[in-house]
Amino acid sequence: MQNQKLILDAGPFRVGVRSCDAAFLDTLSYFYRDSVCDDGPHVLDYDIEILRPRSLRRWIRPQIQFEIDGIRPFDPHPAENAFPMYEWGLNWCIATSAHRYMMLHAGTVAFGDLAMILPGTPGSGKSTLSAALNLRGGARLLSDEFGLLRPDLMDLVAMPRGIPLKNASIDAIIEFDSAAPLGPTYPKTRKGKVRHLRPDAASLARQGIPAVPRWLVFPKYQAGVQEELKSLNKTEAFRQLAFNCFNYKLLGETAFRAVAQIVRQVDCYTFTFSNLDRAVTQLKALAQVSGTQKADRE
Amino acid sequence: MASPQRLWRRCVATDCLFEEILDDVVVFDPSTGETHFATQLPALILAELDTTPRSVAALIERLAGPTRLEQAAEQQILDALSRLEAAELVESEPSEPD
Repeated sequence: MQNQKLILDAGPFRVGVRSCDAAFLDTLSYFYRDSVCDDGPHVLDYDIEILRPRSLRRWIRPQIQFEIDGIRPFDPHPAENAFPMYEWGLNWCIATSAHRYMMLHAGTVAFGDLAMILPGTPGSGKSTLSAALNLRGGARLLSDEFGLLRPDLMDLVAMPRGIPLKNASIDAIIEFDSAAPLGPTYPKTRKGKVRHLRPDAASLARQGIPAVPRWLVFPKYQAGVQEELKSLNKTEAFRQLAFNCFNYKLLGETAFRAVAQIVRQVDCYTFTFSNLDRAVTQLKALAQVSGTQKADRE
Repeated sequence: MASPQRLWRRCVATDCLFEEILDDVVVFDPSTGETHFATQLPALILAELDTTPRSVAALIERLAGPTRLEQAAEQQILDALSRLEAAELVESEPSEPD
């Protein structure tokens, strides 16, 4: 198959993707056909190729490689994992270069144009919770992985992409919404079993519209617990938000001032949850009750 | 433990940045990129000190004017200096004998 090239908008980033892998291109189209740009001259933020090596691994236990601007920063992956490799590779590209944004390790969703930021380390449940809030919580998806804050405007830009659900989270989302639009299953990735949730059309259509931070909710998934939303001291919220900022040290004063302004202007909580139905109900209620009220500023 | 006989100064010439969050103060040290969390008194001391070594008495005068402080208040200042020294934001040296 000949190399094909697609130009996609991933939020504020314009991405060129080339590949001759038919399965990968089909999956890419399933997830992002609404984000494909027309033919014509483009200035790309990232020029990516997903390609098979020229060695024997092209045919024997075939592998796939991720190439960005002619550089291959990762080891090859099994060819069947081309789509997850592309998604994680693009995350790496953004995390290592897009420092005009303050980048939070957070799920971010918006109720209208008010953003709920869900920072957390892997395993906290931020991606699964972001997915659930988007599916049935009335929230549009900004991102499941990156909170991209413009520090000069203090708003979050949207970058709705496939949400990589891992292992038990896959069944949790299916149980939550049996009609959830899920892509193929990748049983043997380096993060275990992965399946991506396609972003909804409404989130993609509004990806050019930023959202203003309004709630900061630190999620923690804990099996079997009753959901509990607790107010969080703003100094502790600063500490945790700075910890969950990819480029806090790199941005220096800019990030310091921005984190302080966020915690001052939003309501801050911790949220322990085990059940997605109850979790979405509680967070949706929070947004409905306080969405039109000013935050409890200091 | 901070001693009233020592002289105190900030570790580097670069001014720290301060953000008040409720009753606490978050301090950013641009020279190291480190962020510290302080209460009001240590933050106030840090803002008053520069790289010129100062005695505790001189520092108290900068903070409180000519008012004579009670011993408890002076001890609080010494405790705050200890914490700032442990955070490597200030340093001390022996004062010269008369």
